[in-house]
Amino acid sequence: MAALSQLERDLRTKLNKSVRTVARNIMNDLAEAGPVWGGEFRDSWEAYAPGVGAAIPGQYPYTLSDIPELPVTKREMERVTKLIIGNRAPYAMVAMDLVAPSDGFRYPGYEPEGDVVFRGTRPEGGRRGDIGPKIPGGSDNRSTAPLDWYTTYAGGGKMQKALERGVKAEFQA
Amino acid sequence: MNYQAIRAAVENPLLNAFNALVPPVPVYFDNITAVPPNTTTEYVRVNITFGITNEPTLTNSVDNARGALIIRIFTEKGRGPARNQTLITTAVNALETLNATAKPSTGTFFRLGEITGPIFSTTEDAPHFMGRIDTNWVATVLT
Repeated sequence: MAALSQLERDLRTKLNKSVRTVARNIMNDLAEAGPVWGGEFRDSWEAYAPGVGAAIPGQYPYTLSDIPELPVTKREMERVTKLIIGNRAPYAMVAMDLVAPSDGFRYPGYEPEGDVVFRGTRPEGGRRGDIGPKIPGGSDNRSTAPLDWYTTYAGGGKMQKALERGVKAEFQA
Repeated sequence: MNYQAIRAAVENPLLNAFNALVPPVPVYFDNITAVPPNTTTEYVRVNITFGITNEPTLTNSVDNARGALIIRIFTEKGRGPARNQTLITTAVNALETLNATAKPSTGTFFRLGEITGPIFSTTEDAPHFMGRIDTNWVATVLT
């Protein structure tokens, strides 16, 4: 019986590690897919474990030590939500193109660290990545990630691939 | 991979749905700048993005792609959400019709996932009230 309970515990440990690996993969993918100016948004991804909390904030490239350790008790393993990934940057929703910038929001004026993928004029009240052709007399805006990059990552299959990669890495090892 | 066929499979039903309204509501797709003549002009923006293409499936087809569809509806600000929601309903109905279409033997087989939203937003700077829905899609180009 002792051997069986140890096997169960090993399995739970492996499962937890695969969950943390998936979270790390997703955070790195998001960091690479999203906009990068000074790097604050890219370095503000974090994973939060209900009942445990967040790990010490890390930065891109994220490692397993940036993901909180998960308890391996049977009771804790039954939690439906293992980890929640979020971004600490106060303007994260704007960076993810989920909301238009609020009034008074100012885009960074310096040169971006990331590659500029669009350059032109953002319409009045437009979202971060909503940049069209340059309008004579209009503003000169730049974007380092395409419009809706986050929705595309989450819904376009890449997040699911990150999940598959993480599970395979642990259970085929 | 026939990207254009995939794009057309979702763009055409949406364009037809909004063109059929009285008066028609203009729809702007990717890489077309939306230039409404004034702040009371309603319009729709449709963005189709590709996530994964050439994905191997259980069948022999590798012309299988996944992506996201984002629809933004712009209506007059300060008039309540009713008109915006009416136009969102037009979009959702077009998408649900697309989902209910039987699988063809040739052409593009297109399926959408669950629709997120609508999420409404506006700011002082923005000339319009905006409603946003998004969903993921899977498409297979059949030969």
